Amino acid sequence: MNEKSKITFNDDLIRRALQIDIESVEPPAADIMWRNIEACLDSVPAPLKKTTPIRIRYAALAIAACLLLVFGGIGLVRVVQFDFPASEFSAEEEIIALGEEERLEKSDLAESGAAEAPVVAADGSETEMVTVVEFKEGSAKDQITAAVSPPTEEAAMPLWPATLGKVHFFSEEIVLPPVEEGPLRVALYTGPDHDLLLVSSNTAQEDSSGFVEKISLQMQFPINDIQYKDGNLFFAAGGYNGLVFQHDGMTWAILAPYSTINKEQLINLAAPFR
Amino acid sequence: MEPQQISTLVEINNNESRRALFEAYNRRTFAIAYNILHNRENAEDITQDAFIKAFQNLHQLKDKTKFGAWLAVIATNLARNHLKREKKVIYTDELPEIRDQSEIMDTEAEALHSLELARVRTAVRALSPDHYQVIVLQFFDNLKIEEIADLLKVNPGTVKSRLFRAKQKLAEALELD
Repeated sequence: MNEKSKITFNDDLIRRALQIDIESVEPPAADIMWRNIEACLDSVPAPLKKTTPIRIRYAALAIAACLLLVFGGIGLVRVVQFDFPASEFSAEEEIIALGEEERLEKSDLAESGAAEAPVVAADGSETEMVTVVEFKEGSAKDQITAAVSPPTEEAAMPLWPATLGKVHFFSEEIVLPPVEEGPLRVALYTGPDHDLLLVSSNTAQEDSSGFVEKISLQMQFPINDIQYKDGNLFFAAGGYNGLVFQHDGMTWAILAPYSTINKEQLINLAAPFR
Repeated sequence: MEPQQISTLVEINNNESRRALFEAYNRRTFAIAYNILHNRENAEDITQDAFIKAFQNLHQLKDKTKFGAWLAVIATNLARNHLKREKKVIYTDELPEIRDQSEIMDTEAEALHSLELARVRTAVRALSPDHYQVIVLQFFDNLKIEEIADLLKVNPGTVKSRLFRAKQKLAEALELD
């Protein structure tokens, strides 16, 4: 290395070199440059701070409100369905029609055995005539009641709860192929991370391990493992972890994918039933 | 210019105050751009653009006393982007002459005339825009690592690493010359 390259290199040297370099540069004519800058600043308005336009805000609010109404409505309908199941409707209920009797022809009334009876107000005066109609099978009114009444078979369906563990919502019932020993009923619940299956025997309470075998057969899930722990029967079948429990005189099971759920979580999901 | 004075001018932000800021920082901003681009015409354009951008975005400047350093960051960024667009660097211009040699001779005569200093200047001018930027902010504006990081909107670790590499480049350039 020659003598030229052996220099004392330190921060102070850099500082002085920079200072000289910057101070030694001859700047262009300031007036011309300033005039250009001024002209540019005058012609181009200063950029405003980024704000969301009011229209977009209103649109976002409207969309949010619509979504709330739609999903809120769906949730409400499901809750109502769960609380007031269709099976509570009676096919033989008596219909009292006020003001509609004018539309009925007299012959129809005679055939259907309608009787007129006065409605008596609290003060004892007659206020209005009420026609009590008993519908007979095959009559025109019977078609109306038939449409309202659910089929008797559906009355036996298990009432699927609207939610499981607060984040899983009832999605649909899965219909399994019919079998002699009584088909299982399966419902799919969807959640943010994974889906759940809720299985019901829909018959009398049955043996837990037998129920697991039934699940395996009917759902074609090969059983990998069955174990009792702390009074619970856990099983693993077809990529799912499952828990069997008894509720309301029936045998139930919750199944969830292996990777997403553990035994503790299964117990928590089944807790509201027990 | 005193920091308080700079802060007041930035705060006022009218035509007169902008003119005063321009007068105060025109030379150094042009020099910074010129040292990166090595072309007077391009450096003029970049200086002009840097002032326009700075004046249009003065509300974004947190510490008003750091106007000069902030302007330097804008200028170096614009110069770097210009180089990227052009995709070529032409080192055509010679090192500028020292402006007032007699004045400097009185104060730092020996140092200024030494070969060492000239070689350091050459090495500094050869730095990449990113390295030149941190070197200017630390050694010319005397900013701390955290202040540089804040201005560049990067982590202090990134600033340290850039400074280390810049110094390494300088050391290499000086030894290999």
